[in-house]
Amino acid sequence: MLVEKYFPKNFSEIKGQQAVVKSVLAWINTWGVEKKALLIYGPPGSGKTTLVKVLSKDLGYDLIELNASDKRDQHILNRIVGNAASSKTLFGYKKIILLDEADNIHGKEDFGGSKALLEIIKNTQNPIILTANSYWEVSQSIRDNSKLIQFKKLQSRTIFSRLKEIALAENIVSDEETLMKVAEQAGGDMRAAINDLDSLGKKLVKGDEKLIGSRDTETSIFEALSKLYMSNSIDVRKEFFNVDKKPEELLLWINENTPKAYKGNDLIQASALLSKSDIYLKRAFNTRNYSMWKYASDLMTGGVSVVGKTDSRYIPFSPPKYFQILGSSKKKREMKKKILEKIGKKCHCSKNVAKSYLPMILALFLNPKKGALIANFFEFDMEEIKFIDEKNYRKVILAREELLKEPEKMEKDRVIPKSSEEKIESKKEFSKEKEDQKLKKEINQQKTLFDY
Amino acid sequence: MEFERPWTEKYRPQKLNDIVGREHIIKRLNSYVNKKSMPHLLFAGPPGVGKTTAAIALAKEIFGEYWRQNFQETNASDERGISVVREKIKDFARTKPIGGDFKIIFLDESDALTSDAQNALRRTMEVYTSTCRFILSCNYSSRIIDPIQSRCAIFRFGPLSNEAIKIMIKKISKEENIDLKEDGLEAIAYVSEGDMRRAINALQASSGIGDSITESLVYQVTSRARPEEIKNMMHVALSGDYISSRKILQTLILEQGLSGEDIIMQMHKETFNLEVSDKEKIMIVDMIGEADFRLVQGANEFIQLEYLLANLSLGKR
Repeated sequence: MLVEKYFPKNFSEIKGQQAVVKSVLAWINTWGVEKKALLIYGPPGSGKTTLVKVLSKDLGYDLIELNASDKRDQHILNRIVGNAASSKTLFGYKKIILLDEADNIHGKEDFGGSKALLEIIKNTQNPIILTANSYWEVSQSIRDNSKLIQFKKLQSRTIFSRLKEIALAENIVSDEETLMKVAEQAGGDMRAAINDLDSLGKKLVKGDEKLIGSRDTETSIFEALSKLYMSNSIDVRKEFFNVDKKPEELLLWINENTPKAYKGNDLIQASALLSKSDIYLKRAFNTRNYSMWKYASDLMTGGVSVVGKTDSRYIPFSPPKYFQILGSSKKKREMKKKILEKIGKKCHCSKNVAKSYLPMILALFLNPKKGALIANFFEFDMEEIKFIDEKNYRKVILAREELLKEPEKMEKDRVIPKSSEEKIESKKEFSKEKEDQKLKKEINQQKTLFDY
Repeated sequence: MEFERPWTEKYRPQKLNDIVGREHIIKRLNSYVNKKSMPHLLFAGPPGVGKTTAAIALAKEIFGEYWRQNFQETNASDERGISVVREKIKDFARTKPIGGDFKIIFLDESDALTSDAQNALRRTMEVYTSTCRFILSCNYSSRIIDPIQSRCAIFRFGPLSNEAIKIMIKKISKEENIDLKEDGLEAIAYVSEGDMRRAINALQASSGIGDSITESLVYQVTSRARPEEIKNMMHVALSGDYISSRKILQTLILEQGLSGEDIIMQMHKETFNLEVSDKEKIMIVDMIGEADFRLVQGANEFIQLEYLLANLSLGKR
């Protein structure tokens, strides 16, 4: 296979990515100064994995590789990568850890994978390189702990020149025009171009490029979106056939970006279509009748295209906020649920009714001592107090500590410790005892409360 | 640990006769106490009108010192599935009463039970009727299936009168040494809308902020409770600025963690405070209703609520 035969052997053979190669080199040569992990993202065939392989060979590193075909759950990551990451080699071999297609670590199969990976990145003794097609599909926490480098699609010219070199070396006869067409058809994917060349035999004639079966090149969501908004045609829906996104996800993308492209009435009509499309998705889901997806897709793509048109040449598309913040918002919802459950339990009501206590609690928090007292009753922890009132929570927590200190002072006077070590121990014991007492007291109080 | 109870709990009436504004109901319930027996009961009425209080007080008076052992409280809206009826309720119903002839299961917000669960409940009520009585509380009795209604004595708890609210608020103020002004008392009664829980919470909230409870303080406190952001969001949308209203929505959902359901509910409430014509208000209610329905059907609250905002902004154009 030509792809393997002409796999670049050193940096000079890597085409068209000079700038990124430099920054990757700089990162590895000064490793430890900057972030410990590198996230290289870019379209398929742009040379991400190739670069890492060439790099490790050229610089004399051992490459430890784990790609998407391997299961990458918490356990396996810790075992394979974790070991490699934390151990410095005895004999002076340096290691690079490559996690190919890191955007595919998720879901049930790789349970705990991305959490484990984060830990590994934080503690690694060796450079870790992740590759992905799109950076937003790698979890935020991993992104925050990695240096990000983007690989752009290769230009057709770059691919063409590489094809020419290979053709020459392989004695493949071809005119430049056909070769250029093959390069163009690959859509920036070097691997695809070389494979196509491989499939055309030793002699290429004009029109041969048409023999190449059209590849399902993944249209980038950005391209598809810009076609959607720039044109005014129902045929736009076809552009999305090759976008690798689930319909629900696609809907969020379109919903996020439509207000950037459309204004006024166009926008409102688009919004109506998206809402309807959403309902089709839900119906499909509820009835397990996924053939209904097509109506949803048609409305959200072709439909939205037809109802509006944009004048702007450049629209700053962005991935849906929904995904970005959903993680943290889920946490908040959980927190709120916990708080309401605590209130409900103490006040004989459901979580829903418990909501009506929040304003009162919030008002009492303005007075730290009262706030602390009521927080004690509901047994809110610090996180929950902070959640209820981000502004005043510090004062409330301080007041709560004050409440705890008062009995502590008295005990301190009673205990006269002999040595410093004992002092700490006895203190601990005492505070434990104290807590027990408090608990008992609390139980007593509650009993009297109910039994009046 | 030192603590302060919410006054709704601290001053929850412990005896039936301490409950204010419910004379007719109390009279009937007292007869059960005298007989030491009761049928299944259904308490219907809005929140904060004494349903739970009456149930707990009744249990205390019937069972005396054993009331804790013979009384179980379950909230159906938090655990609405059929499994609650099958497991939790059945397990309790099955065990023998202590120091009495029967035990009481208080099922709060029982109208939240699915109809499957209600049907399961109906069987449980029949099977364990010798050892167990149910008190079902609900907001709307119409949401309780007929066969259950026919097995229960029905008690309707309407909103409490202003007088009843005032009696309680005055009593608490006295106990807590609060300087309650006459206009403050009026204001609390007004904002409570017959809901004692709301009234007492308003009093306690006000006491946390100011030294004497005046009308302006009460309104200040209760408006703090009102989600101004939602009102603001509606105003912005109605002015035709869809994009800005959408941003507010995103903050509400993503940063403050409000659910679509919360927002719809608040929007509906706020509709009546908007400065638009009554005709427009009706149109807005219709739009919100449609959005609510879609939210139930639709997969994504963002998209549905955004559409609602888009509709509102269209109205002005």
